[in-house]
Amino acid sequence: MAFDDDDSPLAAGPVSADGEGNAPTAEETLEDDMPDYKLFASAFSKKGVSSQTIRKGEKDFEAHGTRSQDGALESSRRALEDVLSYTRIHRADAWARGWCFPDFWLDEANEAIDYEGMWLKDRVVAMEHEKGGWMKDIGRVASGNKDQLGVGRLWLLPEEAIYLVERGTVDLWWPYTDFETLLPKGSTAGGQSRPGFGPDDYDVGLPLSLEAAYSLFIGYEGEQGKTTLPKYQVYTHLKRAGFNILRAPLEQPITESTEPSQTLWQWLFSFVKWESGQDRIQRHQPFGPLVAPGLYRAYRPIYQQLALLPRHKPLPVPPNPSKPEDPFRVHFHVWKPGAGGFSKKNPPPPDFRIAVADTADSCLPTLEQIETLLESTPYDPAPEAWRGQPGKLYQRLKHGHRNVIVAVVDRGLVNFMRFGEGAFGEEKLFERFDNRGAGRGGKKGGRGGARGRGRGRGRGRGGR
Amino acid sequence: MESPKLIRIANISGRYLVFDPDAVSALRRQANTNGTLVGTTPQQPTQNIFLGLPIELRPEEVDALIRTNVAYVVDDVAAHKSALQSLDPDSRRAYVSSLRLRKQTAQKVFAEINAQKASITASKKNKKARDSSSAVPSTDLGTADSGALKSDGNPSPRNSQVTLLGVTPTSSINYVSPDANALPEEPRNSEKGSLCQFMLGSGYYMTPGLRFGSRYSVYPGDPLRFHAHFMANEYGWEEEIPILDIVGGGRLATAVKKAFLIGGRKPSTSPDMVTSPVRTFSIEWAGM
Repeated sequence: MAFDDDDSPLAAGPVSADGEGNAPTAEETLEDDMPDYKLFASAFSKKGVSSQTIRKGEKDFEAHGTRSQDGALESSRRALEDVLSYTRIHRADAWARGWCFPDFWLDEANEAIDYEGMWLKDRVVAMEHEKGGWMKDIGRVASGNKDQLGVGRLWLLPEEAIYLVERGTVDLWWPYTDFETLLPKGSTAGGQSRPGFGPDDYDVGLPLSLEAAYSLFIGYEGEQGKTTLPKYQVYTHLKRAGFNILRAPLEQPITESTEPSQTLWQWLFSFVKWESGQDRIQRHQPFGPLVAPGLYRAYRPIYQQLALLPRHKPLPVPPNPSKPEDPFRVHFHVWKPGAGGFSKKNPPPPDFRIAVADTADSCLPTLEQIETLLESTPYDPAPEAWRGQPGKLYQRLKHGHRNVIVAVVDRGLVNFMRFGEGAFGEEKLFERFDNRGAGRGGKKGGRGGARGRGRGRGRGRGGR
Repeated sequence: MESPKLIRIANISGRYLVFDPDAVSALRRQANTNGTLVGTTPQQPTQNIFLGLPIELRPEEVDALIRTNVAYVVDDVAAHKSALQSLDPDSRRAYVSSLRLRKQTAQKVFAEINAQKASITASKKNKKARDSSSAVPSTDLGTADSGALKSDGNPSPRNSQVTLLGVTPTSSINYVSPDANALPEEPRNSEKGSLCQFMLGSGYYMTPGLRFGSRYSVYPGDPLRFHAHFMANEYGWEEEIPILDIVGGGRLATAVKKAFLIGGRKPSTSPDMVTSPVRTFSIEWAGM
């Protein structure tokens, strides 16, 4: 195959680590071991981090062995390598150090209040400094008895910790001494730096690499204090896009238990047996015509006799919900950015509920799985304003009565699919025709009524 | 090319990741494997278009890389655990000095860039001051002064006292010895993945096919420069392929100016024959 670019003289292998003399001044001082001048040089210029600079111009169909093509490819590769070889640095004004204590809350001796959404036992990184705007939805302060170690500190979940390290916000350290020495009780996050615990004091701990953060916090499904790679990838994808995101509480209480209680009006009407309801029971007989002969003045009774198969009817409270299981379980709650009033402590109802599935080990959910998943989300029918409007029919159907998003991850690529609990049975088209008939009475008047009358007459004649 | 160093692939809980930028570019240049960039770029962390390190590799890609003796796999979780819990003094010292060096270098570069910036702004300022002073000498003094104060007041503390407090390396090369906890090479002898191996062996590049509804997108060269030629799916040798898959795949691929490729490996009949042929077919929707 035409992979001449591999042998081309331009491709001199990976950029040699010695930064070939393009660093005049810095090189004078730090001559022989200048491992990463290049890395840092690119660290300060934010230019070049875009697909445009990396992929210059239109792509080609195939290699045609020209020098210009080789050159274009080589410059793209170099640009990419430049961007990738960036090293994360922390400046004094924004230095935020986090200490890795993966087993801290698993230890019986350490106590704090664990409430829903706290995930205390999964919190693995204690922050020494709290700087920056990222705390809006990241981290939780352990609450409890002030005499306890670790209480009053901001603690991070594994996905939050990797994300912050990855975006260069947090300097993650591995402790070589105990918690109390590093983060004594009473010292606050904004406090002065103590001697012996500064950024250059490598006796008390060592800074960790991004790789270390991954290896510490990425695990298999269900590992305490870890998250899975697909879940982390969904998390960062949404974080990068600006969403606020929290882990969904495990057991979701069904909040709408008050919903089915009837209003007085409904209760009164429940005594009146609708004629059609009785009809349905009577007329379903094993023989004879499906629609009983008779005089019909509306479509409703006819259609109701035709409805032989039970339809799915979404209920505000599912009769016997079962427990959703991974991967089809709501794992994240997500809020749109910029919609004020978000607080990580008392989050409003989320805008989206997201389950995470991986292409490698999951299939299309079965009916049971998707039903369970949907039933774990609250009843969320189309907005009131859309109801009863024929023009909004398809929007209503699309919106569904419950909805959930499944993020499908294929080796790092994330794809979001929305599943809605559609209920076609709830959209009775014949009602419209019946209502149109009512227009004849002059209630509606105007054009609508006139049209309805016209059509009704026409059909009537044809039938005779 | 110089004698290729084996590339270290980190196995973290069953996922295959590469963190070292040099290894990533070596994979791209020498083993036509680009992987998927899955990390946040620290330079621009609020976008999803261009992602950074690490790269994630598919298991079948890793398999192919092990077979061709390009890479090896390490149990990175265990490697880190043992390295962190019992770091011997020597490697610890080495790591610390590497950190210090990086920090120093960064500081130098940073100071230099700042000096450059400062000189540029200063020359601009001077120019401006000169221009304006010639025009309106009386009012100018005050404004120019305050302007200078402001501009000096901002960068100067940065210039003089800027301290880079920390460096977070991307890969753990400096404190986890590269072949600690190397996993024994055992290319899985499964049928799955043979198409991937075959395509990589013939010099194609592959990316996940999720965006086009197949298993792989197959490129004739580096995806940085070339369009994909195929959307590929692998099938077992005796697997029944629904005809609708062919029509669907063919139409989908043709609609994005690619061909739909299917392939599979013939099961080897005799144990000594290691590589039985892989058959591939490319399908295009005729659109008649």
